Amino acid sequence: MPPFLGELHRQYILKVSKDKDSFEYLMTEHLRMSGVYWGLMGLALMGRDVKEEMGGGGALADWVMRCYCPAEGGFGGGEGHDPHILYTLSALQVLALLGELRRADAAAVTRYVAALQRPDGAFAGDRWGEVDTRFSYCALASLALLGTLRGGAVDVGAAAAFVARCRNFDGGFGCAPGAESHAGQVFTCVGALAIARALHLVDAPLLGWWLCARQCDSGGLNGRPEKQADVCYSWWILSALAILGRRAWIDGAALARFILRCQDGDGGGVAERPGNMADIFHTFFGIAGLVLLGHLKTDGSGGADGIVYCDVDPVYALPSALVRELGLESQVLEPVPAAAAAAA
Amino acid sequence: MHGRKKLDKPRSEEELAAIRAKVLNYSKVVAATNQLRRELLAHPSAQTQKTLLDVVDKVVRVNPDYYSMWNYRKEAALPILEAAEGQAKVGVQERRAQVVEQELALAAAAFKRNPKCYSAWHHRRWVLERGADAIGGEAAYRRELELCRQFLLLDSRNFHCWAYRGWVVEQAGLSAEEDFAFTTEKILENFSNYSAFHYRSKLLPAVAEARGAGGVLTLVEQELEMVHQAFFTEPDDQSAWWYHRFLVGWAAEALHGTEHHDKYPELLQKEVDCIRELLFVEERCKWALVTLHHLLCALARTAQDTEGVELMAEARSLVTTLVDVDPMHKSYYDSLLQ
Repeated sequence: MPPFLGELHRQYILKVSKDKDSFEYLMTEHLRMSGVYWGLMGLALMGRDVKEEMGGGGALADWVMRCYCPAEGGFGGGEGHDPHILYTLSALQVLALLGELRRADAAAVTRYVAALQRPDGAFAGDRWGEVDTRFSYCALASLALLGTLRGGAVDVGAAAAFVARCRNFDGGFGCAPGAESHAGQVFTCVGALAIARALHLVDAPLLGWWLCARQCDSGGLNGRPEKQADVCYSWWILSALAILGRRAWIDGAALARFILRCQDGDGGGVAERPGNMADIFHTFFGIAGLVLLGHLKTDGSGGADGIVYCDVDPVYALPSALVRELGLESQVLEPVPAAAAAAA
Repeated sequence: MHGRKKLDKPRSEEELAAIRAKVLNYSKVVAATNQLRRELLAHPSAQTQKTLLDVVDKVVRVNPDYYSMWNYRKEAALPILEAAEGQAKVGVQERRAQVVEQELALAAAAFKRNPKCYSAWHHRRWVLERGADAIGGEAAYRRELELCRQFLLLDSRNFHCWAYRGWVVEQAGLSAEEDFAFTTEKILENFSNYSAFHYRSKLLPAVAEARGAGGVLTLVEQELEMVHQAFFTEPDDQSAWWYHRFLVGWAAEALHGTEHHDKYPELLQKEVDCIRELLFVEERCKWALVTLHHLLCALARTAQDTEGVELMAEARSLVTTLVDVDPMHKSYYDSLLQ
């Protein structure tokens, strides 16, 4: 089992956050808000104080607020970018990680999210009307973070009903009714249903099988049948399985080995698969996957590297401690009895 | 973010200089867009609008995921597209058609850079929702079907295209049978086309309804025949097996309430026999083993006591084989023993 290069990844994340002249940095300006969230989470799960890592966090929180569009009530992916529900969630997550959630105008952001709900319960991403179940997750998680989920601003039941219409023959979920199952969409749909407390709408045994069937010979997970393994599915799938009480259906050792082989031992960071270029997105999801697998110990019993890793909440994709502190609730299924019982 | 190989040596000075030039160029264009947009909001003018659109065009061709840029195109297009639809004045309709074609062309250009760009697919839909009538209505949607066909030839698993096609089919007024035939074509081209099987699973109920209660049994038999062909040809390709599992479940509901409802146990037995036949040649085919397990459990539920016990015993022994054949999924297989 290759070692986990925690400190190297920490250096990588910090380096990327400062490298504002690279072409990659420029080309991803429109999703910077999510990029910041991924970077902060990578640090947070490695037990770092993210405010300290970000020089106090004040400047970063100020930047988040500069991405806020008061006329509509949503956040854009970068300064000057139009508001969108994806980046509204990321903004709230970043503020929460910095302990600055109070800076968001809860009433205005709630109104923004609520206005995006369609009569059929679906959520558009922004005023231009694209519908996708990712946006259902972003909407419900955003309101949960603001504490306004159950205040009647959105129809949670209708939101769940729409997600259920996106359920497919294989138990999985797609981006809209009729769309093919995809592990990323499965996470957002199962996550949305967990927040809505409507997991009865999931065929858990069937979906659990479809999800664990994503594990390839390499030990890695793919997002759909016949596709290549990719480290980011270590999060999308493992978290969905955790919510469904079937995390044990993945061969944890094989997956851990795959994730560890995706590390860049020179510059740090984690890539989508061994030999590819690392990036912030896969770095976060690789670390989150290792934490969910229990490979990185969160009880302080860890190894020689002296890092005390932090538990990650599979529904909110935030440190579990923060989720508890904020009082965020969700439904999760009881873990299915382990194999030991079957051997008896 | 996806699909780039790690550099095996540091970039040369020439490469770095070229990248710096690219960065500079791109930054200038983006800065120009933002400047023009601020100007447009402060002092609206047709000229500023046109210049903005020209610069936005440059940006999205290089970075189609820059979603705000597509919004600026929509802001400019909206008043033109919404200008009195059906108005006799020739200029208005011509202008609308021009804008539709121009936006569709831009989306198509973006696909060259990224055929999985959410913004580009949505832009196409948004434009057609407001202006398809200006370029032929249903005929325009038929052209979109052809575009989808081309994209699916390039990548038969492009789910953006499949989802978009699902919407186009509704607008084009394609029948469930015609759409069904399209999925048949894709499946016969390649049995591993999971996307086609998925789409087919959505069409099946509509096709069954169209063919009437009397035709359900034949439909079920034909579908089973097709999946058999698929998994006998490529037993390790999972797509047909997933569809098979769905079919067996769907058939139970579909036959219920028809004159052939009593044929279901017989149908299940035939499937069991078929899978056993495959396992005779391909002993370690995990999908066949999993499927047989599933079928035996289904049969056991309808069987008499002793027969049920025998079926469950056989099902349990399959689990042992599965764990041997596919140890990675041991935890799942063990759960089947619960």
